[in-house]
Amino acid sequence: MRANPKTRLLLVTPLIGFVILVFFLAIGFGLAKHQVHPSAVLNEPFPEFSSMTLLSEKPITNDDLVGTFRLVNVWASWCTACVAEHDLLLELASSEAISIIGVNYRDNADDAKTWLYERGNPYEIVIVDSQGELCVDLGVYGAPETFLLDPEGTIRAKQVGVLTRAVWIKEFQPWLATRAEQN
Amino acid sequence: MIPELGHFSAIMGLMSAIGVALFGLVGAMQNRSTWVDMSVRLAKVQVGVLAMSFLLLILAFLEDDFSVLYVANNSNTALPWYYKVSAVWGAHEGSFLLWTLITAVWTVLVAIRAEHIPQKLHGYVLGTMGVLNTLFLAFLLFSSNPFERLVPNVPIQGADLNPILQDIGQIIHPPMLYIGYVGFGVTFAFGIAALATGKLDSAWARWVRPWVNFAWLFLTIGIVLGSWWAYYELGWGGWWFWDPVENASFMPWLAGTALIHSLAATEKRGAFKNWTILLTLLTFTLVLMGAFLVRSGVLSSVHAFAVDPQRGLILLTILILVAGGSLVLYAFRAHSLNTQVQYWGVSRELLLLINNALLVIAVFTILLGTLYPLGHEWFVGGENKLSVGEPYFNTMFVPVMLLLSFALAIAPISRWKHTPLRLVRHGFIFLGGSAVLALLLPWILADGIHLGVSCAVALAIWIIATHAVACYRQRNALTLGFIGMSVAHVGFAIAVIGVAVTSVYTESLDARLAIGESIEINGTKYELVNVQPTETQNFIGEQARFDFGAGRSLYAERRFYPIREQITHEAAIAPGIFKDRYISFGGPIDDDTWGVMVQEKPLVRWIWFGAVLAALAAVVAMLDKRYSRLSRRDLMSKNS
Repeated sequence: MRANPKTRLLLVTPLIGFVILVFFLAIGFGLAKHQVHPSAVLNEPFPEFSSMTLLSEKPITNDDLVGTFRLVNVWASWCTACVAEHDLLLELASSEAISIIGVNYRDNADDAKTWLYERGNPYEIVIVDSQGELCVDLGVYGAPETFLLDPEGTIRAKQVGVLTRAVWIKEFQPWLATRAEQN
Repeated sequence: MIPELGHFSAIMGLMSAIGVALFGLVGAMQNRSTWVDMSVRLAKVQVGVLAMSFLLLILAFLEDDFSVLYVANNSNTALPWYYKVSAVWGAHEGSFLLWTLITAVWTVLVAIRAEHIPQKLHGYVLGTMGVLNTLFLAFLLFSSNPFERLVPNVPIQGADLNPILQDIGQIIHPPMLYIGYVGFGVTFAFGIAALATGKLDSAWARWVRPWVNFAWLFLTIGIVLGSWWAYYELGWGGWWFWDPVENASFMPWLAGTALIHSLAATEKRGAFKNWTILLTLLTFTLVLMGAFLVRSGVLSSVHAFAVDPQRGLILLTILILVAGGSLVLYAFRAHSLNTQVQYWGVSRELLLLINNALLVIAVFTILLGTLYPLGHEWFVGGENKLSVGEPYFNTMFVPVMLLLSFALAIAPISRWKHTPLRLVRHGFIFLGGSAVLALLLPWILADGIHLGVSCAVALAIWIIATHAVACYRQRNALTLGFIGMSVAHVGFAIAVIGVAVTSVYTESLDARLAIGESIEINGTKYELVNVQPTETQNFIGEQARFDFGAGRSLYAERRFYPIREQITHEAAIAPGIFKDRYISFGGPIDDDTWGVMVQEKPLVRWIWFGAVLAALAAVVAMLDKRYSRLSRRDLMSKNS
């Protein structure tokens, strides 16, 4: 059976698709070698950014985050796992253990506001990151992720995934304690 | 000495793999039966030496030989013996040795079990398997040698196996997955052989079908085990995370599922021949791509193995050689296989086509979501609204699966070529009944109506109903093939119900509790009764006892593994057919209170039950008479 040109083209399509796929994989692979590694943001200053706050809609930059220990929590209304850590965040906020800054990651502003209204707002400020640019600089892979900033604005600890009590106590709280001792 | 013997055995494995490839391919091309026989013999040698190599690596773990780098990095004297054994495949090098051993086992099975198929085809299949294992073994020996020595500074103690892998689920999950992955290497080899011989008839399809079922069965079990493990071991009750590694196993599964269905049409009607071949190639391409994504460090993931640029490069090369090469062959040879087949209206061919289209759409949806972060990094600053994560996958995947369910429900009452309208109409009567039943669901669960769940449950009940009716109508002429198909589809329907109900109706509460305090969900009180210290040879921990209902108790635990300084959470789970009670025990908050999360997850077990049922159905279908009878009949056709 002889193939007509149309069939020929159809049969080559998978090959073309594969070439494109390999192109992407190779790019990804090239990037992987000098990628920001999860631990690479540790002990580095918080990335520079300038954005708006979600609720008061005022401008905000990285300079606004220095001065005290802060928890920077990446969340979104679509993020089901974020619900799991929300009560802990509310508890930390109400006990005034630490100031919590939210980064609203790739979200719809109305959905985000409703979410906070329904579940309570643990955040002192919520930074809008609708395009995920800040999160790219932070090396965020998905929500939730949580960072600890010291008063100088340096990232001291990081949790990928749900922030649990155990992680809070073991990884985050000791930083607050050491600083309290120094003072 | 033992590691060197193991290393030597692996090198022998590479030699025999090269032999299997050469003798198989050349024997097939030049029609030399002695060469193909030699390939069969070398396949037996290959499996022997690789098994030896693997056993010697196990021995190095059991003897705590920390002069071997891989053992030192992944084991410890305090580890119980069975975890020392499973630690062999706990990280990249050892797991890849297992991968090559499994490839050798499949090769020898094909060599022995498929001896009755035409010699030319047999030679090409064996040769292709040989090429695959040659590439795998070269990769193992040149960049991932598990027998590498750590001298002269031999550590007295090892770094231990990652605690979350110290678990029964993790002992069997990777081997199952690999058996499934490499099994699709066999169907890939059959695809290549069909392209090389230029012959694809219904006998070819009948030879391939049991192998596809076999591979699919193990891949299904592997994925179920992974999901089940994540559910109870990661400690917060999730059972699927759309994690890149999960996606890497799910994409070949979907493509393999499409292949099973397209093969049915190829066998019975000689339809979709090109497409079937393409699926055999695509499925294994996805397997290799998954291996590349997981093992090269391109995508960060909880599962990702240690990153090594050289490894990634070699894996990418293997992917290009195998997948690229096979697709070039496809582009030039596939046209010779095509035949025209007539069908019209709501025929079984049409439904299988819809099934394949939807499954392939699902594959590409997941592929896009998995690779999106790579593309995004490259084109940073682009106006992308697409977000990766659960919302993307759920919004894209759920509608595709609902459409698939719809086609599935009509499947058993459909006929080849053309289905009389009367039968289709009968099918739709059941849809009405199922919808009514599904709307009753919220009352049973004592909760509000959720439209999506009702749709999913209605479709699932409809699927079960039409299959039951179809089986009843054919009760006098039921084949194991038809029973297998029906059971697999019912399994799918059960899993759909589980996924829908559990995703929407799970209740979850987070609290801090002191001893004697309790938390209430759906009228059940969960009381924290006491917290006891626990200790074994490789971890220390705290165990909390919770009482609920009339005198029932549950124990949740939080463990600290001192060697790796890692904490794990062992959730307390009271399993049930209709609901799981799931308690996660967090750390202490202050001197006398602890963090606790309690969840009630309705029908969560149905997900795994349905999937396992479908996997078992694959075995039933494999036992169909037409696969066992074929040896004699095909021998005759071979001579004619």
